[in-house]
Amino acid sequence: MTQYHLGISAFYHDAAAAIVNEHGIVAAAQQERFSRRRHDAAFPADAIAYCLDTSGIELCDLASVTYYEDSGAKFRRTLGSFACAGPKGADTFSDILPGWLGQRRRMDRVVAQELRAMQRGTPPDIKVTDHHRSHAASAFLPSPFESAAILCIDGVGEWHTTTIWHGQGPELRLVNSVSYPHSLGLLYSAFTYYCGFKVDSGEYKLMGLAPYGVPRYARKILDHVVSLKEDGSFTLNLDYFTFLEGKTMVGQALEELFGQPIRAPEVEMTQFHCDMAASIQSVTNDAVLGLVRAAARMTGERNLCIAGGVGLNCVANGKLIEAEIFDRVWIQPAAGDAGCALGAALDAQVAATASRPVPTSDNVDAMAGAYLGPDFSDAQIRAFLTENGYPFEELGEPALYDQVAAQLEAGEVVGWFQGRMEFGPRALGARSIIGDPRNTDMQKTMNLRIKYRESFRPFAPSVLRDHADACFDLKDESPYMLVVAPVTAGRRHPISQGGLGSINEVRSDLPAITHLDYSARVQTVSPDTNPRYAALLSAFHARTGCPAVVNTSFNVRGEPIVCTPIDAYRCFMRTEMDTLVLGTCVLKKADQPKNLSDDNWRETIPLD
Amino acid sequence: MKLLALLFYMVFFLPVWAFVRLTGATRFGRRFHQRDSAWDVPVAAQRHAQAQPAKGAQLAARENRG
Repeated sequence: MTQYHLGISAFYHDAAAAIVNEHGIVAAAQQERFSRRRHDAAFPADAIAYCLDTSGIELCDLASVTYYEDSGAKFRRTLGSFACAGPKGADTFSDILPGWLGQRRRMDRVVAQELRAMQRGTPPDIKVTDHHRSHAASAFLPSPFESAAILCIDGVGEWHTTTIWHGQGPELRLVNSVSYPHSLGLLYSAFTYYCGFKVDSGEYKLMGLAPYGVPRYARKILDHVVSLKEDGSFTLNLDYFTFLEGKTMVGQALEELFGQPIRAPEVEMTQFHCDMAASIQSVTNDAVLGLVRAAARMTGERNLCIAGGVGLNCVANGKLIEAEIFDRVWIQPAAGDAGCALGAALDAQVAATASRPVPTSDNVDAMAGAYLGPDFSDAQIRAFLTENGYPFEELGEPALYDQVAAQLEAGEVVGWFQGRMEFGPRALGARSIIGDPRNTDMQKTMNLRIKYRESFRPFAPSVLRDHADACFDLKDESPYMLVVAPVTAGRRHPISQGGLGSINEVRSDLPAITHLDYSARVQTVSPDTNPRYAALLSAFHARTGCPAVVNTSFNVRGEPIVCTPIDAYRCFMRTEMDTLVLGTCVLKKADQPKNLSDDNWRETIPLD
Repeated sequence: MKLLALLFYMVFFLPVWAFVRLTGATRFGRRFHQRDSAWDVPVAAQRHAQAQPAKGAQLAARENRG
């Protein structure tokens, strides 16, 4: 009989659920996609219900339920942290202690209660695993490698902030670790905060800002704030951080070191912030390279798997691949805490059967392209549109791709909703907004009229795997858009000035996806994992000679990526998107009823 | 509850903090920042830890956390 294992991550940020059996990963999704609250940390009842429905089982049919971290150990770490925080921590401590003395240090009990409240049968006893073990399992067990070094880098789990593991067959062995408060994730978050972005969500904005600056403060950061050791480890100088006190990340000491105050959110960005972003990115690149070298030394492996929030830093990922310390690198697409749900489930499955759910193979991982979320059939989509009276045209498959390719070529912005939703933070052609990368106005149009976000933010390309070399200097495939690679030299145009003044300069013949440093966060698309998206790219390639499109997530700023056709239609109507493709149904904005506008929708979505 | 928490903080945590500030001991102190390595298992002891993976790594990590 098939045994199902459920993994849950929740109560910090990015709550998620995943379910696996001996044949592989059945389903995985983040709670935010259902609740429509970005980075929703609440108990992922909707995501769990989706996993159960997809498996066709109830809670009582599960072989195991595993919570992704040990909240008791987290409580002890919190006590240890406050014990070293000094008088300034007293206020926050008195605020949070009641929560910890209540249910927070036994989250497994809360999970059990919440599962019972779902009224879908009696679940088995809740198992608890370690945060970094969950990350490591999510990185190695679905990877295409039989054995590998595993590097997990994040803010903090229970105590660990960085771990190196050795994965061999079904086994995971902790090799070494760096523990709290010394954390690369917290370092990057501290500078995210210093530059005026939200911690735990604005880190990717800081990464996107970096190419506009010069790393002129990198030396100062290394001299005063963080020490990178020769053996690959690192420490933070806690004199410059305030996170021990529990309220903020940095304070007066860092302001005095750099002579600039903490930037308030939404206040104008200056060259100083760009230079600071470039500096911390440069330091992070060096730190990650040190850790990768250490992982190679400690394990003797030639393959590397990566997870943890810092694993989403595509620039650092690009550098480590470029350095060729390992022959092959595989990064878990849901590298943040959502991926821990998957890791916890896979680890439990391996513990039960002593074998990995999917046999390893040279090129294929077990993530199914990260398309592990809800799916809506063409019949369901048709029924939804018909019931609501939304005008649409249904096209057969070859005609669909030709028509959408023609619309893209004409400069239209298209909402593309196909198949199972992605698991992880990236839109990979299942819930994407796409456009023509050759269009010089596309970046501005998408940022200001579609996504309603900061104009400096770059966009990423999806490119046909077999034609990627024509556009990018990629060392390997990048199916999960987790690696930055340079645009090929022949496509580049010279830049006159650099810095924030260059936002609107045309930097290549693919201007919408070429960042200021000629880099691009590339997704390679293959018909094996996403046939419809690959067919669209092929049609666009045949029509224009360009094998790439701009691909950004199907949402507006502050909103989670859309999950259902209803979410997609709502987002389509709220923005200046021209066309929406739901399965094989094509909707034109001009044809839609005019009485659907909800002008105040922006007030209902908090900015990220 | 808040008052009790404050009292607890003053009686137990502030003395610990004062000790750490004075001595620089533990991984929260300045002395740790100046060390040559921050690995929980000292790299020199890596071979030993590899020979006895779980136990060796845990003991070394506990020792190193101070």
